[in-house]
Amino acid sequence: MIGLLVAAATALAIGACGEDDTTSTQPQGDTQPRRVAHAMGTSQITGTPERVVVLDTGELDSAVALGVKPVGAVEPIAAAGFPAYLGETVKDAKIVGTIEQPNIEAIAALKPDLILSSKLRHEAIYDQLSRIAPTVFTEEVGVTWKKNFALHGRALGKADEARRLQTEYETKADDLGKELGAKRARTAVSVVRSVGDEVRIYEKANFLGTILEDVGLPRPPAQDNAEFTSTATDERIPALDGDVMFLSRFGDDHRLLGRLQKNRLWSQLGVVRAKRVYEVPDELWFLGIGNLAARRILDGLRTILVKGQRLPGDDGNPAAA
Amino acid sequence: MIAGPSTPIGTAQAGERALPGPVVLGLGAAALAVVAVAGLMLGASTVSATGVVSALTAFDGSAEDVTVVDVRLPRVVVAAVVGASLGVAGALMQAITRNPLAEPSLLGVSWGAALAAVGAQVVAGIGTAAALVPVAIGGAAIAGLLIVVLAASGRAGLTPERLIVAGAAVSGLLAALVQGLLVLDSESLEVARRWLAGSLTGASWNALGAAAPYLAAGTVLSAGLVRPLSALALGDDVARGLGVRTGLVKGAAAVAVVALAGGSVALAGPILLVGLAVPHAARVLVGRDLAPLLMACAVLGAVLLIVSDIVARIAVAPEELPVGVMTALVGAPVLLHIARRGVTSA
Amino acid sequence: MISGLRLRLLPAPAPGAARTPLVLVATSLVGTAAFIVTLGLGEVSVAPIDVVRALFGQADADGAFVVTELRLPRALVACCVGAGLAAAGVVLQGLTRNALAAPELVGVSAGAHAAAVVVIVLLPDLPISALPACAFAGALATSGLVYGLSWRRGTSGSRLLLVGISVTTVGYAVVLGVVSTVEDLIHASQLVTFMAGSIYGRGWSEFGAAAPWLAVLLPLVALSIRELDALALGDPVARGLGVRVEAARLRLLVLAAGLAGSAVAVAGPVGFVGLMSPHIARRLVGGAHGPLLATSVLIGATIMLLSDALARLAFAPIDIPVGVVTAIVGAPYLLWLLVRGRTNPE
Repeated sequence: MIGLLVAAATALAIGACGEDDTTSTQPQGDTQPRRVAHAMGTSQITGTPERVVVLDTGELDSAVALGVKPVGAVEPIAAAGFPAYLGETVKDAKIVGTIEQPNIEAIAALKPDLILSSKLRHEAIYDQLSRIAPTVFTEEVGVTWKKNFALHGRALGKADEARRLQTEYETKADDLGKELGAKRARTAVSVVRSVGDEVRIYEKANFLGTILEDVGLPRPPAQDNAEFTSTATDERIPALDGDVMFLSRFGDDHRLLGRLQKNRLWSQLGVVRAKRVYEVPDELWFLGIGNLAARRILDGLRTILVKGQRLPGDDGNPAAA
Repeated sequence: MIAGPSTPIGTAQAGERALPGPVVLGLGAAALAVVAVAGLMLGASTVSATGVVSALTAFDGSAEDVTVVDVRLPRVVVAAVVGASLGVAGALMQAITRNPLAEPSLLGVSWGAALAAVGAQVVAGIGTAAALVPVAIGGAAIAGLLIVVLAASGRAGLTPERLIVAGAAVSGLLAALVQGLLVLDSESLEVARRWLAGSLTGASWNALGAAAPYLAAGTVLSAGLVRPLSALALGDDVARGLGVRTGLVKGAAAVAVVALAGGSVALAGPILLVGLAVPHAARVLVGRDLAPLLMACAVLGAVLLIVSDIVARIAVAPEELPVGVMTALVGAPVLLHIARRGVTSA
Repeated sequence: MISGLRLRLLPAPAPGAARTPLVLVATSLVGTAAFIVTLGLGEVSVAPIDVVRALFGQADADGAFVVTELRLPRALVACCVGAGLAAAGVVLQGLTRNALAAPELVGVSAGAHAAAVVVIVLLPDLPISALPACAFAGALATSGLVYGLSWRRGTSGSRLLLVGISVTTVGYAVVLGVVSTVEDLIHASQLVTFMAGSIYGRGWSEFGAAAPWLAVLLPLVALSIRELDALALGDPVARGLGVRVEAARLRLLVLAAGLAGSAVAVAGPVGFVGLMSPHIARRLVGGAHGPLLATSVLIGATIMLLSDALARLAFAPIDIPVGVVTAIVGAPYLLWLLVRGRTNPE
């Protein structure tokens, strides 16, 4: 009895730190019940879950990256569908609502054996979800994606595979950094995203920010803060400048972005004059928030920064709606 | 005192004017100029007054000048135009209903316009200013009609209290529908802020141009209605005796209100309580004579909204508060004051 | 002050009273039927007989899990919210002798809502069980304000409504202002949904937060029935009957604030239930507060159950806020009352 308690306590303590290599004592593809510690407590999971429901895009990415076909997933917003970069793997997943409001009954109807999400998003419905199936929550989303991926790996019974993929990512990021070499110092990256009627400047504490940091790419002074985002307004256009700008759009009706681009200050930006504004696919670079998306983004960065080419769909004319 | 209309609004009463009309208007125009300059000076960065002047007169393409001319100037102008339009619309509504509480957001007219605009955006994807203006005006018209018909029905007729109750019910319903639509289509909070309380971010010359014809028509119509409305304030029977066609005048005034309120909502969302606070203050300053009253409402409305917008921009910078939050905080005490004094003594 | 909208209530004469047992039985049956039927509706349809089996613990019944684990707590929360708002409506209408005194129209819900939002934003780790107390404090503050400001030499129905609308507008502005400053976009949009009134995802913990308040406050209201009946006859008569009028009103106000506060803390400011339920009940059983309270509570719970079912199913898999549904149902009802002059029972 004491032994069990000590083991549980240790698992809790270790799980809370989220270190990857501490789970190396567990056998591969484990089939005995295991206790996974997470942001809302501990859950008991048996074997390799096969009917997985994911309630956010990061979780969806993790599942697909680890070769798991989720039976149910949420859309970012109503009628948006799943991000296209995930391909056929998610084709048959049932839509169980939106990130903001997952439909709990629809989830229950799928009879899942694991539910993945985060405390940040769905703390309020954790109790109900955990009655349906073991529910594993990460604390946050976005900037903590690496820790999250490790936890997802443990929950899905694929901790080793997750570790392997993460190492693959890290190597790839390192290699890209080395390939860019000294050019990096002259490549301050500005990240701008238009979300409906808002325009956000993405600073360092977010998914894309960590990838850029891993590659060793600097940020312009206005964006060099450990914050998630800041709001771009007509008056803050100079804060958008950099050596390179990655511009992305989510949703419709980008009126503010259109207005900003018509503003004289926009055309005076160094990055605009140098024609180094690159349009990037939002669903991969911002919604992906996972290991698979991260590796693909590295490919995109390579295309843009090493090969000097534009991504498909970027016609070099950022003012086009 | 029997049921129904109270001391008429709009009649000049001897000795009631606090200050001579031209003096007040002169002061008002000066105040307007001052706050407008402040609106150009203040924001994410502060530009000096001389900087503002040089930006306006000797534009040199610098970041500061572009901020003043491209970003803040349209915003201040739209604030002034919307504030003036809502102030005048409120005064008109109070004149034709003889009710000191009538104003576009309390009686659901603004919410009708907002619902139509949000509905058009969410359901039909219509987003351009030019298209939204007529949609908003249509919504305002329908809401206004609904309230008047409902409040006037039944034996009791259109009393101030019935109008307020009808307005509260219709506003509540329309506001709830706006909230429902925003929840269904929640991409960004900016849209929600705009349509829940009004916001001046994104004020642009384009949008202003699209709304201008309607606002101008409403203004011209109001000017033309000053004399008939003043007669109407003496009572329907007296007015008819003076040769005024009361039904036509009330109808024309309603059209002016719909144009002014609908156009304002299309530009800035349903800004709360401006049409209440402004005529009330104007009445204190210039008395009830309708011609100076309308002009004072325009000037005071412009000043109120420019100041509210400045506060909304800098209070929690870099975030922005919806400007309607400010106007609600100003307008609610006015409403309270009127309520305490009694509805029937305007 | 006599006006077109007479807002003084008198209890209806005896005929209503004779029907009471029948009405109570009928509304209980309707309520129970609504409870069972709505528990069977959703992604998985469950036949009523299976719902009953599931409720009685037969876990092998079809859809038992969905019924008992997912829908049951939400339905119970709906009942608590409906009952709390209806009871608050009965108390407020009784103590103000005003047919339009519903929690959302006299500022009570607004105070609860503003307090809840401020606490949610400033103390995000506060457990849900503490929220009703905070909402209660807010509701108490605004009801005290409204009471103090509108109670001048007796009741004035329209003044109460206007003061209430003023306070509600300020509360609305405060909430919007707070939501605008919330940096975390996820929480901000959750707050916007809360503003519309929603019981999405509400479960056992929310039921556990609200139910104790009802369990304590409803009996206390029941104990005050005699005072409510006396107050309805007018202050002098009430005093003659031995009621300490001011003390009673204050106590009743506190009860109403608590009832509305617990409902708003859990579901946000759901509108029209606190208005409609007492009205419908009064038409069925008359104005004697004993039967009125019991019937209103049942009707309130039933309205919430049916509204929430509609909210869940209309746009499945998306939930629309239940407050939108009650507004769509309630506002026309209020307007119908207005048209038929039923706000004037004399």
